[in-house]
Amino acid sequence: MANIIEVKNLTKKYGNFKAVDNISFEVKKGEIFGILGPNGAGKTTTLEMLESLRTPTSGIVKVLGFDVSTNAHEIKERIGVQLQATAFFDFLSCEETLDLFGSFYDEAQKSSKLLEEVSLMPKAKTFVNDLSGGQKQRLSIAMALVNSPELIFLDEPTTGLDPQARRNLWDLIDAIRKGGKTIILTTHYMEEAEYLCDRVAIMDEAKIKDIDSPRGLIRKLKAENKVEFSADKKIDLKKLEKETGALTADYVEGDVYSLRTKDSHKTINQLLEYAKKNDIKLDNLHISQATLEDVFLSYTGKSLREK
Amino acid sequence: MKYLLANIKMTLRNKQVLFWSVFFPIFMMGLFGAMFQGGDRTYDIGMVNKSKSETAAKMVEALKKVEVLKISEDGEESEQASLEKGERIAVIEIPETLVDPPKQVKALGVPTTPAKITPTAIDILFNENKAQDAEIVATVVNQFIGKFNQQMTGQPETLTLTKEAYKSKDLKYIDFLLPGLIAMSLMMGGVVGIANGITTLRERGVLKRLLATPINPVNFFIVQVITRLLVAIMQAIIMVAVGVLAFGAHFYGSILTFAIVLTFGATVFLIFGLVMSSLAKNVDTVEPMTRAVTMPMMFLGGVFFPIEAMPTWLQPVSRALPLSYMSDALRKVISEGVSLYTIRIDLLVLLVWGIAGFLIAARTFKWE
Repeated sequence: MANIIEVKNLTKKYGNFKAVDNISFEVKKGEIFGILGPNGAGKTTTLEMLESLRTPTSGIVKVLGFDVSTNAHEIKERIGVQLQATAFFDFLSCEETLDLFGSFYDEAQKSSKLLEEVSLMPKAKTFVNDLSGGQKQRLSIAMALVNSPELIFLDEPTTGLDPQARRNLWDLIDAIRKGGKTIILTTHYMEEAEYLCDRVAIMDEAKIKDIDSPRGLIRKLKAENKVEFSADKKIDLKKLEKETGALTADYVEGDVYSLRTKDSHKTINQLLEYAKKNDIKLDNLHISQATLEDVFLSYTGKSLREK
Repeated sequence: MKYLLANIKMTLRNKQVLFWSVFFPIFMMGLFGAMFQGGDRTYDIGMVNKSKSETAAKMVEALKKVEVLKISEDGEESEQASLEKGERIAVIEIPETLVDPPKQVKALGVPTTPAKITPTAIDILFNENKAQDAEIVATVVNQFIGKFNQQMTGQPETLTLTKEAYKSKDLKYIDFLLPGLIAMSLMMGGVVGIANGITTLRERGVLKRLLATPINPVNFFIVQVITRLLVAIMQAIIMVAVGVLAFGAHFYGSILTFAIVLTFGATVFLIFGLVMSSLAKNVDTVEPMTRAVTMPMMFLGGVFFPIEAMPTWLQPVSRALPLSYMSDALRKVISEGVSLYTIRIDLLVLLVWGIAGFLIAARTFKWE
């Protein structure tokens, strides 16, 4: 399958600070490619270099076969962009906003068709300011579709949305992909990357740590399961790790502990035994499959969630 | 093109813009107009009448009835001394050569052509430090003499003359205020409007979003400038209309000259707004910045009172401000009806400011 994006040894420096440090990857036609990482990892900078909004310090970036440093105009004509901040003009309705942005391109879709696509038809005449957060995000996705692009960039499309609105947006993004478009998105939500992406690049501190499908990344992880429980007594983490044969033992919060293990059956048995012996009352015990969150933790040693 | 229309639409839907660019100046006009109503300031004039003619006496008599003029007749030497001391704005000298027009002889049924009168020059000596006041006086006196001449040669009815004389209290404070307020609102609209507008667009990421489309960035500026100029013209039309209709201001200038000066000055202030938006970090900093620029200009720029009325040490500051030149130029165009050539110095200073601003903006403008 043809590569729609090719990035080789891409670096972006601001003075001495490396925002993006020697990263390479490809995006294939028709896939949803995710860049996952915490705030400040360099996700947005990477995306904006692909969108020809920023000039790379070094490295090669080819988008749809065009070089970003020489063919910015051709690229801009063919890509759809949603920036992190939903950027609208005040005092324009949804319809007018789409018509206006459409006028910037050689060819543009009708605003009514776009509004239909993102289910905003009833809001056609509503001022952009009066939309809810989820509706604004959907409008900005409609703006990204206005020139019928082959390739769409979405920068943290669901940040700040409530779960319901996020779920709606996922369905929308999925539908767009089914329409044959290639999507590259950044996120710091694990569930989002797991649910949407065909492949995920894990990015932290300006570098890409790994690229694979979400399942592939989890499979590579040493620990595939997670055992969580709460205890009425304080347990030493080192001791817990040793007694249960878990790979790691951590506090989650308060009296809640978390164990990562390859063999959940063995770990649980040993945990119960240990609790009995030390007269510890366990509660809320549950096992779960490892998630991208755990993958991220193992790669970077830190949690993705903003503390 | 579509962007231009959309931008105009957005601007007109923004009530804040309308408030500052239209209602605020009109409010100021009402406020200051009312404050100075009736209590128009008077101008001290010296009168030296060397002519013994009846015409001259009548003229002096009539001039004394003009409310804004406070006329004293202390003799030539003392008046000139007062002028030098700044106690008089101007001294009017009527030369001995002014004589009464010969009486018309009425022949039976045959109208005689009035005898030719050699025009007599009436000197007005100005105090140069009070040039602006002097100009107002000169205009009043000029109009007065014009009407007087008409009266004297046409119908010798001195009664209507005195009526006319009262009316010829033509240039009132509002005539000073209106051009100043137009200049001020152009400055406010230009600097504040553009600076806030563009900074907000930048802060929200709209500028960046535009850059992500194939639009040529130059078009963005063209659209902004054209929109604001249209707003400026609309502002000026409304203000002139309100000034003339509601406050009895006078518009003697040519519409074309007025439009040219208006557009030119508005552009300079737009560039200022661009500079502000380039230098400001975000919306929170741009507001105090624009205020720091517009507020002093509003009071020092000869909008509400002549620069000459300010303390001497402040006057050089005022004379450096673009608003001073803009209000001066508009004032000359509106109440004196002068040509572009007469106000070339004003326009030149504005041009220099404009170019300086443009260079700064071009160097410092950022899209995000």
